[in-house]
Amino acid sequence: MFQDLTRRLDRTLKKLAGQDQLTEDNVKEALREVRMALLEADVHYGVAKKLVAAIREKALGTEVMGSISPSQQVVKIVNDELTTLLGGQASELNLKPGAGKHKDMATVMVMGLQGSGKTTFCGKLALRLKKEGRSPMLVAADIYRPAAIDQLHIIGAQVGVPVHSDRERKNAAQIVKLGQRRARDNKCDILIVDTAGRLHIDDVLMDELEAIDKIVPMDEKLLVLDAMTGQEAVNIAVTFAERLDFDGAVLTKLDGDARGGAALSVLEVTGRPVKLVGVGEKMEDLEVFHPDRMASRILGMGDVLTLIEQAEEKMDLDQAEHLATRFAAGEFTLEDFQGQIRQMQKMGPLKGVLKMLPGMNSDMLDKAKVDDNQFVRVEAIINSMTIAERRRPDIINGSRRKRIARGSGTTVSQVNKLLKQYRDMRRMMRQINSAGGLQEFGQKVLGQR
Amino acid sequence: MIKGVINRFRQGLRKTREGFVGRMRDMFGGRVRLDEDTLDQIEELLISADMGVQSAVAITRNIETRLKEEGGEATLESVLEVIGKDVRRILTTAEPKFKPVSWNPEDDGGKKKKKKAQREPILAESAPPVTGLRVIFVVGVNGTGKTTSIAKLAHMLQQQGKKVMLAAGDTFRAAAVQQLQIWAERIDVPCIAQGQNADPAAVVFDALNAAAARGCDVLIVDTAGRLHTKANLMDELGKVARVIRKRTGRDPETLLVVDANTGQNGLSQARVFAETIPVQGLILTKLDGTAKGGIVVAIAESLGLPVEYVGMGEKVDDFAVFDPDQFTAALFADWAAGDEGDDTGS
Repeated sequence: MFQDLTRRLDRTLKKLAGQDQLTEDNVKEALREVRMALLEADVHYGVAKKLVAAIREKALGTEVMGSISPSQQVVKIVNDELTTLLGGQASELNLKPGAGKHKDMATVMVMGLQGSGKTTFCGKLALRLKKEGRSPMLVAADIYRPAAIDQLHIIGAQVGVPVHSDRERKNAAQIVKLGQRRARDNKCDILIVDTAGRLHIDDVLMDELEAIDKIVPMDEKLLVLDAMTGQEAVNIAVTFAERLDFDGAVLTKLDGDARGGAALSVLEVTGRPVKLVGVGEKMEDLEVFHPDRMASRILGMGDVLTLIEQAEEKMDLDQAEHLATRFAAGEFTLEDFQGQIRQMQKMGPLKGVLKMLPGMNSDMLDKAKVDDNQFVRVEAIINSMTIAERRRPDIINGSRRKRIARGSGTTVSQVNKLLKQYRDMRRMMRQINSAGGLQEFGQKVLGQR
Repeated sequence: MIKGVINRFRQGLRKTREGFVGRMRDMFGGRVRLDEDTLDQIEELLISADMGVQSAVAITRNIETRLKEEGGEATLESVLEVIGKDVRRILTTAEPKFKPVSWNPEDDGGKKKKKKAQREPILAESAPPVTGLRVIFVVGVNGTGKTTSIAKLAHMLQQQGKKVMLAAGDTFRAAAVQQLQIWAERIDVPCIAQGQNADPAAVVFDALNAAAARGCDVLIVDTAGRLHTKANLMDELGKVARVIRKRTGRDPETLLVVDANTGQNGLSQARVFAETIPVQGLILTKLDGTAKGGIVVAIAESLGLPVEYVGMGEKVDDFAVFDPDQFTAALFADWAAGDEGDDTGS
């Protein structure tokens, strides 16, 4: 649905060919596209504006280089700027026992709007800390939502972490205080408090959170934010920052296809880092936040930059160039196919490579059932062919197929399958030459559309 | 609509209105002059109300036309009127623009097909098709407020004298079944459940029979929240919908729950859900806490899905049938009149 920024910029920057500098006039349209792309990714309009101004400054006067297109140049500036804004380093949780506000334990309060994923995150965090050798206790301080306490108990049982709750008491701060006492008795060294989700304009909730923080001072106050949140993200973050001075944000539901521009807005407006991200429904699905990956995601670029770097590092450039020429000419033999497979294998598992293409996500990959062992079989089949067969696969008839199958320890149908794949690929390459881009290529590889 | 609901509705939207109109006023004062920057700024403002690029571009074009007609300059009211009119048009003329691509009512998931011929007569004999039952199927991504909306909707239908039953089809999320049961108890409607990790299709099958046996008018089916990018979970949704279709002879009335805080991803959600099963419309939730809700304009414009209901708060009667005129009026038209109390929009 969203177009890759590079392609969008290609369109507007076409007329730049032949000009030697990026100027106010010729980048105006491009900057408009950048702004639209940011807004479409749910970056706050104020933040987008500021960013575009910074990008304009960097872009102006830049020489148009022969080797890369003006649009690639602009994209690089945008990407650099985003990465800088998102912070260079991943921020760690500050939960060393005794280093914080309590001698014997660290305390975490998890806050956020309704439905942002607080309770699930509490479970994921508890599991993560437990794996690090800590001994967490969960406290159910959401006394409003029906069955919220049950939910935390079920999750606590799943991850094997004790849960403190109190169905009689109607004072969240008291529940947390008692929870802390119980954690101490049980020799737990981390208290994770799951609070009630409300609407941020709700003063009663804010008062309650303040009361908890007062009675049991919190080392880490984490704001849980749904990655799908729109322009409202800034208001949410600002309200929580003003009232509770939170320490960091957690972005949830990043396993969907949301661009997550909200992360950028939160960081820019409140100065609080995103510390962790939720990437799935399983309790293990919690990751450290990587600013550079987020930048690419917001721009819808996949991880092309990493891919290009890896390719440069691992690929034999002469060989690659040779392949590219054959590619462009539409002459693509099984020998080339074999060469390409060898190159690909150098870059690591195919799944990892495909993941970096724009428009890919892990579910598409799961559907595609990528299997690296196929490469081994394919190589064996190609190795069992004569050189003439590799160069002109069309000559491979029935008896040749039988011989190849015997030689490679496979079956005729497997040989047929490879030949079909090869023909499909050859056809696809011709298509790429005529029209497509990388994204289309990626989607076709996986049989999408 | 009763007056209380209108007021709540407007109060819920006030933040949106202040945000949008306030910014327009800050930017342009009382008069808007036609130039490229102005149009860019308006377009940006519309997008920043989560309305989406497509709607924003279309509305901006109409503003340009109006400004030209008025000689290059117009009052802020005049511009807001154009916006209001366009938004109302988009919301009122919404008609689904495509059919679900992967929806095949006959598909039972492959293998069963061959057995169908033998099995069907037996099934038909032992369990006669459920007729005359209105089945509402509530779907959406995680955390949008499906379960709460179901309770509110059930309460509303009950107030209209309907006999309502709930089906606890969210068997995945921890304690989701309990949550629905607590609501059911509060509003005093029966709730059919099998517990955590049960097959949702089986729960629904049971509930359909129970609803028919007890002579219910409406069955509302809860489902587990799922991100639209999870293909296998979307397939499961199709399966449950087909069970309903098979038993009742028609597609369920499917409502997609959308959180008013949602940004542009709402479009992607709506598209994929509507491609999987025939979605009839939206329930817009959490309208009271948000500055936006503009995503429904984007969804109506690009996908033609109308908003059917809005949820506004945490109480069971904070729920209303969506009224595009009021939504738009509250958003834009009565900004000058300013404060609560006035009811010109109704």
